[in-house]
Amino acid sequence: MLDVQSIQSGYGKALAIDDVSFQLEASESLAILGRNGAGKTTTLKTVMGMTPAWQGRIVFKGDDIVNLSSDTIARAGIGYVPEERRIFESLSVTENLLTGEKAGASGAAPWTVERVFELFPEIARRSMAPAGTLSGGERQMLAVGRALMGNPDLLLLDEPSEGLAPVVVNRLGDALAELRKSGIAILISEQNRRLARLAAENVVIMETGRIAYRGTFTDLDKNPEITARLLGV
Amino acid sequence: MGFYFAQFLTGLASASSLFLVAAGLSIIFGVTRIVNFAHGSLFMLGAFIAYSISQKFGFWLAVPLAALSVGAVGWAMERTVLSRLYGAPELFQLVATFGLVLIVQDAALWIWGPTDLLGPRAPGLTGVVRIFDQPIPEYDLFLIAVGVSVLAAIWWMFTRTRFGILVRAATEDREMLQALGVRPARLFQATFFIGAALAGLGGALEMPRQPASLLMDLNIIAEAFVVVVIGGMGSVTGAFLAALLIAELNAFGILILPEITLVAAFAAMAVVLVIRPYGLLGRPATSAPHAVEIQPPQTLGQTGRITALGLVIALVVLPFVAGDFVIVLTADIMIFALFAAGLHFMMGTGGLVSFGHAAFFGIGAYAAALLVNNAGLGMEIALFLAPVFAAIGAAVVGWFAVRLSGVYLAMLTLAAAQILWSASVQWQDVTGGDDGILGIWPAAWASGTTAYYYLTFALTTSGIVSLMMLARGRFGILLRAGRDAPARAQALGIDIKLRNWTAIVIAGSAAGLAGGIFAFSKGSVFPDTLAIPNSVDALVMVLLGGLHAPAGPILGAGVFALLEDSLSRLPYWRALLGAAVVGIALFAPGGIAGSLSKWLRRRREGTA
Repeated sequence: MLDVQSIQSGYGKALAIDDVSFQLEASESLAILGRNGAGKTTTLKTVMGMTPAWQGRIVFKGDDIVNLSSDTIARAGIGYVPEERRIFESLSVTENLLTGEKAGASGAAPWTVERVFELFPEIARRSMAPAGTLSGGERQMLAVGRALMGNPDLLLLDEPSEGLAPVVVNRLGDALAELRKSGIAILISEQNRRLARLAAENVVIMETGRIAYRGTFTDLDKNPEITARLLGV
Repeated sequence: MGFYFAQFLTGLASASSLFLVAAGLSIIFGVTRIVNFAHGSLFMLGAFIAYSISQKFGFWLAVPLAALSVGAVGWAMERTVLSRLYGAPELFQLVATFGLVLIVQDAALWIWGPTDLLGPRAPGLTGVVRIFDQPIPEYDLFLIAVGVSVLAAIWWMFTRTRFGILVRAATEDREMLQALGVRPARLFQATFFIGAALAGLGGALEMPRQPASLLMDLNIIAEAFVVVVIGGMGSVTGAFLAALLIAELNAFGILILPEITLVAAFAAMAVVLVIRPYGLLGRPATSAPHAVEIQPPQTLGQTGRITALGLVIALVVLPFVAGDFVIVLTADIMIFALFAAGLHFMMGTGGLVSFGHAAFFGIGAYAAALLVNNAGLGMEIALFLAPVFAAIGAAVVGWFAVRLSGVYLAMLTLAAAQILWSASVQWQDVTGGDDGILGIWPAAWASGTTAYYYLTFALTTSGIVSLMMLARGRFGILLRAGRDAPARAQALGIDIKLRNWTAIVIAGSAAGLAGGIFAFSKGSVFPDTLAIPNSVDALVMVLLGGLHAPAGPILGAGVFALLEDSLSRLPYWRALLGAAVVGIALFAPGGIAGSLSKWLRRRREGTA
């Protein structure tokens, strides 16, 4: 479904990621692990068309989407949950969900405000409140819900666990596992391995802008020295 | 009691149109982050178009049709000009909308002619109602109702429709909204259409109250800026409250002292900004990502230095070889080069836009004239004090402006210039109104054409050279740091606000000195030294010469003077200027000097 072929990108003249390639089949889930500054966020932003790719191709469902505008990429069926969440603080929770509302690429629109509230009852209770008054965990749920409102085939999640309490991370992990079962493909960047595992079966590890390991979580568990080398602090 | 209530209602009625214009301005700014200087022009178009339609179809059809037509004009502006500038530096966006003001102004002159056109009264609303025994025009009550209804309609749209929710979301984070799949282009077009239609509606509704005239655009935009700044950029309810405040201040101020109404609005804005820097209901703007093109410092090269030396020699020798006409023309060019050099310093080096730079030029000119005529001082002291007074004016405007984002400076300077211009026209006892102040002659030793030429040469050259040295030196470096990377500069401990404020004061005093020299060279001062066209001239000189070229203002002033001499006799000269301004913003942001050096570099690389 998503075929990232040797992309290169950066900011100004500084190279941030180079020769990054990975594939993702429909309903498959992939986690990108790596330390701070490894290039995880840049990779996701490049897929989303928010940071220009200097080189490489990104094929989504057979179409080259590299360097298209982010709204075109979103309409092609990719939902984006940014690292800083970027909810609209002056809008109410429900209004935030409505900003993301659109039919999926296939025309079907199974996601509604009610269904998002079923998945995240925490924010349903605050549906009329300005989103700026939400806690970090509620904001994250809102950001995920807002992306789901666009009925994506693929969900990009950029470090969703960042800054959240462990109990909230677990809650989010359950929700992501549930989403996986419903058939949405997930590409998640994380530093929290536990959450990444709940969301994905396959994994790539990035180091200084390049892919340093690829495999499954099961394989990774058998090779603790890789984890220590690439992720250990 | 009844009388005051009647006056209160009159105020409310005037608030309506002001609110419509300010609301449109605010909505457009919220979504696109563009301050549309042409918004007053849309208001004016609304009045003219409504007049024309009403001649055939009557009042009640004319009002909505005019609003829709103006909406279409706004949409076309967005499509043709502004949509190409969303990624451009803020300065060029502002400049482009300002160019549109000039184009619309001349287009209106071409279509409707120079005379004011008084439209029909509203059939069915021509009578008066007695409230507390005072006659209140029915139409005033209607206007009040329209203002409140539009506020309610906008509120409904913002909270109950998907479009409104998207507009509010875009005001907060445009990039995120786009990543959710919303097409920004459509949103921007719709916003421009609605904002422009509101301005058009405001203009059309003025039909029975005031004739459509070519002065409407700048008068209303100055007031609308004050309203938007008081209310808070991007807040429609804030605009409503502020429009009420200003209109009531005017309605009651006029009872006490007619002249005070001009200053009252500005004073109210000053008070509000001191207490609430982002306006009554405004919030600190999350600055939209702008393409920051970091400009390396440019200095005069070898060729440049030789050219400069040649220019100075030529200017010294000129009186020996040229006649009086050329001497006076050259002196004028030098005066405007100094005026432009100040503006160039704050805009190019500091990234600070002034659209009312003539305010400081005019303060200098009037200060010089009044000091000589009323205070009986000599030319030398007057020329010394002219820049001082201008610097004080710049310090006042700058004090408010540096506390806010860049667009505020452009708005505040334009509003200040417009208010000073109105004051100079209306405050006849002091300024002589349109008749100006006559008989301001230089001291005996400087009274000959050649003598005054050399005085001009000495003062302007030292002014321009000082500005160039400032721009190149430590001060200029810190100023550029604040322009290109404000957050980083601040983190390094640079007091950006203080630097910017100083730059504005320096630019203001350069303009004041130019104004003072100008007053003595002409022997008279008229309100048009303060008027918008004078500000535009300076702006065009800076842009024409090249915003980031050290010789820009000199080149710009020279080329402009030659162009003006030959082209200003054309009937639609202002529209040409406007088109040139838009063209520079769109296609040649480097101006003549920028394009020239690019061409030279390419040629050199080609031959090497």
